Amino acid sequence: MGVIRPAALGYILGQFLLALGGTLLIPLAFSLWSHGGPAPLAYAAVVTAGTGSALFFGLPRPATDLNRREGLLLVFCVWLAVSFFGALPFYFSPAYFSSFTDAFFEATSGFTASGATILRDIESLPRDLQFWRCFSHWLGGMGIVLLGIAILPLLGMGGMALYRAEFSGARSEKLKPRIAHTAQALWKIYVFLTLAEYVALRWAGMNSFDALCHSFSTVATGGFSTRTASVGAFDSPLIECIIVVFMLMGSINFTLHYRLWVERRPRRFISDFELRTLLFIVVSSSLVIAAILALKSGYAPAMALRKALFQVTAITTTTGFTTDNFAQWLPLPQLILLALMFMGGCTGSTSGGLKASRMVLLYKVVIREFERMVERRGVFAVRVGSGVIPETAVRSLLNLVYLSFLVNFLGCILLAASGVDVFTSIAAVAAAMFNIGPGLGNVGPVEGYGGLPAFAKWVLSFCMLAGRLEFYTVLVIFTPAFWHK
Amino acid sequence: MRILIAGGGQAASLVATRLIREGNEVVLVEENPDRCRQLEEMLDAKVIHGNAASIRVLHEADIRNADMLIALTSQDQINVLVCLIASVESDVKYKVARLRTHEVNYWRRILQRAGLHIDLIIHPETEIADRILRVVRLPGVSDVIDFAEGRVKLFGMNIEEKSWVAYKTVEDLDRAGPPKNSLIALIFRGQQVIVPHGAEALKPGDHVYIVTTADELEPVCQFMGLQTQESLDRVYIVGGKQVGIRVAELLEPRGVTVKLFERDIARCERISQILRKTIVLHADGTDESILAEENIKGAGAFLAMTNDDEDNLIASLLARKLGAKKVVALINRLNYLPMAQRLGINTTVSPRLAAVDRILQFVRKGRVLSVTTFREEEAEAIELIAAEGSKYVGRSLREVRLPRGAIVGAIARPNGEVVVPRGEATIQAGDRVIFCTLESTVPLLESAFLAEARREWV
Repeated sequence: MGVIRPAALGYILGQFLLALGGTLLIPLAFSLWSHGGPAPLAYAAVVTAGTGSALFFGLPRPATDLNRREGLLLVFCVWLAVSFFGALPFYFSPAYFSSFTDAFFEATSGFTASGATILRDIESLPRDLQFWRCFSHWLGGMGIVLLGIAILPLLGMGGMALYRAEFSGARSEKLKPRIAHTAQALWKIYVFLTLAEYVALRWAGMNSFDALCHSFSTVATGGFSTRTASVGAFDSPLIECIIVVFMLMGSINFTLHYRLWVERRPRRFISDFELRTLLFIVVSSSLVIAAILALKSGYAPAMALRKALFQVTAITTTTGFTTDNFAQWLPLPQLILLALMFMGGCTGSTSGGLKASRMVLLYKVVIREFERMVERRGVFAVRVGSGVIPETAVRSLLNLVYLSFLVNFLGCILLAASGVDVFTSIAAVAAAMFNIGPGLGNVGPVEGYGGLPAFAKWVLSFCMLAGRLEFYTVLVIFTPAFWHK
Repeated sequence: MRILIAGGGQAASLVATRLIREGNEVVLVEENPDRCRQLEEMLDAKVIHGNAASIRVLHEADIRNADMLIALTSQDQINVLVCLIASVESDVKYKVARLRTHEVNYWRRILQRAGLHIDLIIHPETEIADRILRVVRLPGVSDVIDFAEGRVKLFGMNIEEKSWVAYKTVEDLDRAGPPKNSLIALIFRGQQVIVPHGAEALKPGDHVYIVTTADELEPVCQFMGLQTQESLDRVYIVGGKQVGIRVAELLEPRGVTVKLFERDIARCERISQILRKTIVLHADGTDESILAEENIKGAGAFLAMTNDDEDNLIASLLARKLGAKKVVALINRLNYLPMAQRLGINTTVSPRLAAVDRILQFVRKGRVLSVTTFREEEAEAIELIAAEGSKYVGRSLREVRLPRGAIVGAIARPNGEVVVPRGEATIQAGDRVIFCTLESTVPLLESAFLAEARREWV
């Protein structure tokens, strides 16, 4: 596995911080027209770039590529550091964020594209901070390290190890021979989708600031909005429709996007089993919830369908926009949403959750177990779509599912220990870990996370990071084996 | 350039490493899933799992859009088949295949007649046999590499503790009056590669490379304290495989007595039918008593050419101990090469490195005439033709600033004159210039030296 060289990690981390310092200057443009004096963003940019250059220029350039262990550790450190320094603009705005805990929670929620917020009134927030929240979604949605591989030339080192450690495993094949080119191809699609949504939202009548911020949040399947009432504030079926489409776009495997937009092979796109599964679940859940809303909660049928479709899509794609306070719905729709939180979108997309293909796979593995019980000597391959899943993949899937439930359960215990009620704990941990954002119970779309105790916020921040990196990458660092010489 | 490599063995991964570093996109096809995973971690390349002779796999590897195909699987049939598929299914510009059959020359003809055009067919055994023949007469010399049609020689030697050159600096040696055209170009010390300056001292255990001309090769060897053999008397070959037989065939007409050890009696009979003068012995060449009986002491050369690296190493060590003047070991596994060096077997030949050199030379065709890789990959000797308009042309070497880690070994003029330069020499357009350089500066040198950017290959 090789030795861990702190200097090598520091050197590369320094590059990331320098780049982050640079990106902090972008929202500064909005500061100029919203603030009078020097903005918190400027301070944050100076501190970030300063730390970055101290690491980058102070440490020697590593002689050899990163090994696997360093790759895993680096990815975690990058995410931690980016959340930490990304929190500085919030921390330097004490009028809105009372403690560093709140600032860190907000930034982590931003970069992991969760969308959980501690704020109750977003309209009063200055524009530059509003922009930074949505922009952090966009930077993190496709993967910070992937972005680094695409644009930082010095990051050729140990590329594949980093790529695997960050990008959701199972079905993310390399599009191009070189890792940097693959990362660039994925980012081009990402930028293209964002621009497309921006144009569509402008056409639907949104102002340019809102359109930009919502495009960032949607394609990254994040969920931060510029309004307290989220997308509901616009009360426009057209806007909701556009956002539903692009939330789905963001949660589709980007390899499929590549097949469709670059290779122009729409058949490979449409025939993908994971995409079909996702669409099937979104449509069927929406219909069920719409029926309940219409029959039991007294919504008009058209309104019920509109609300149900938007909420279901927002939760399933792990975006977490809202147009209705679903925490006030009847228990059954709420439980359906909770189940959808666990599933999430497709592998290789910007969405969180366990991913649709894994759910299908899990189902098939269970069925095979039954088959084995009946046919004792039978050998059965697990088939998903047109492919056969190798046994090693089945094993790592079962591990992942077990791990996610374990972490989920531990998270709930810790939250309950800090005095949060049971249903809220379960929903909050799931919403954080699967990067959705608003939860149920006392952390619903209206209440937000502001009322939770500080300890709970740290636990949830950790859950967001662990979930974003699909558990293994984060948890392996806490195993003794990782640190063995 | 997009390069598809069929096969993921040692030679393939070495070639891929180099090609990637030179800015190419590489896709590898490998059949063993474990090896695939290894390759994926080692290389910034796309690795496709599957049989290279499968059309579906080749399409998955995007053969349609490849510019170059290099077939390096362990099976000749597959290599030929891959080239065939490529010539039908895609318009790959260049096809390279490695063949290991001794019938390679028939194959060249057959492929040509059949209309399957393969741009380069590498037969590592031929390359190795040629390389052995060049050094077999020079006991202390590990390696002789020809440049400019053999007019320039680059040879390697080990510095022994008791040699008079040990602990001398490069300047000391200059003062001792060496033959005019000679230059110490590279020093390998442990893991380090040094492009020496005047104050650098030679230490025992160093492996140095010296540039000289064809005429002065022997005087330079003598100056460095090496004995040369006027004529080879006896040569022993262990292992009756392709390389062994080939070398014997080449030595026979020179009037050398060749003895060949082979353990397998059936093979011995076959070899005795092929070779006319060589004495074929049915014996184990790694057995000390047999070697002692055969009077190895004072033998001109001892070549360990079995298929087994360990046997070759043991046999070579024995032969050295028993007093053979020149010992050559064939080493397949690249990670044994440094160890062989440490054990004092300074001449090793490797079919894989031979193939890698040949491929790199081909890939850089048009820009670079000859490439030799030392120590897997850290240093290189390359031969370039000076282009009109390059910033190095027309100025003395003292004036031009070469990239760090590069040294001009020799200049071969079109009129046949060869200079090993000492600062005041001037490069003219059309000269062939031999550089000894660290691997990292090769692209820099190429682009600076060739003036007009002929980068269509990169």
